[in-house]
Amino acid sequence: MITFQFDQCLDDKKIIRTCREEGLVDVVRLPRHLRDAEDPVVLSTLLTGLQPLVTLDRRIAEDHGASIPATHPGLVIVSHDPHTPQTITTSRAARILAGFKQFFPDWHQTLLANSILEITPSRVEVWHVTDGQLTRDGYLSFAEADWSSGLAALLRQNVERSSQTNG
Amino acid sequence: MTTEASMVAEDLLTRTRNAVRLLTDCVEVNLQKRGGVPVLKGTRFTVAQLLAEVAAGRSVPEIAEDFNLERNLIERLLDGLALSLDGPL
Repeated sequence: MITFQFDQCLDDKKIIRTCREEGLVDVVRLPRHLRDAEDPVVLSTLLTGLQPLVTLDRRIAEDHGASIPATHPGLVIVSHDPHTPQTITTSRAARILAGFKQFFPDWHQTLLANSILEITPSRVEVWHVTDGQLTRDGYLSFAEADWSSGLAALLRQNVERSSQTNG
Repeated sequence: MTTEASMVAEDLLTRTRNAVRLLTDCVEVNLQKRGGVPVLKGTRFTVAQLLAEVAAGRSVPEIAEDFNLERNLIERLLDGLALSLDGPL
């Protein structure tokens, strides 16, 4: 079972309880010593661990690409579509994720290693980091019929980056 | 300036000063934390999300409990925001 690491913005007892009741993945709360940490510390600490990090901070990867290790367990950003006149909350994030999971049923068994995903109500974008620079692998609109197989292919490709990096 | 106008100006100044004191006590802006979006002091939790959670119908005690945040800090922040808006601008 994959365990996801929540950033503080998603570190909501109600969401955590719902995830655990669903029983498909486990989640862990942000360690106490990181509750006051700056973004580069959060990224460099948590992304050297084993659990993909989930955050509502849409700028964290873009602003701090240099703090993301070349190989990492995965980073998932949940956000509204651009120009949505609403601030994200955990319940809105849960709805966005529910929409995504409905059409990507293997989400809980899919390795996210080395991928940075931004999931919105209408699309998912996939990125990876090379030498501290973000590179976009793909933009998949949920309106496209085969977006989930395209996503699976991009994620597999990024998982393989670790074996290439490690020789 | 008439006496009445100067009293209004003084009231505005006092209110603003008190609001700023309250807000600087509980809000932090750091470009390295949440990209410079204002957060509750000592956390990575944005003020914007806090207000959005309130707007979504969650109470302050509920937010404090669910997100492991200090209830007193949230209350002081809301007091500061209230004070800053309590009067003609």
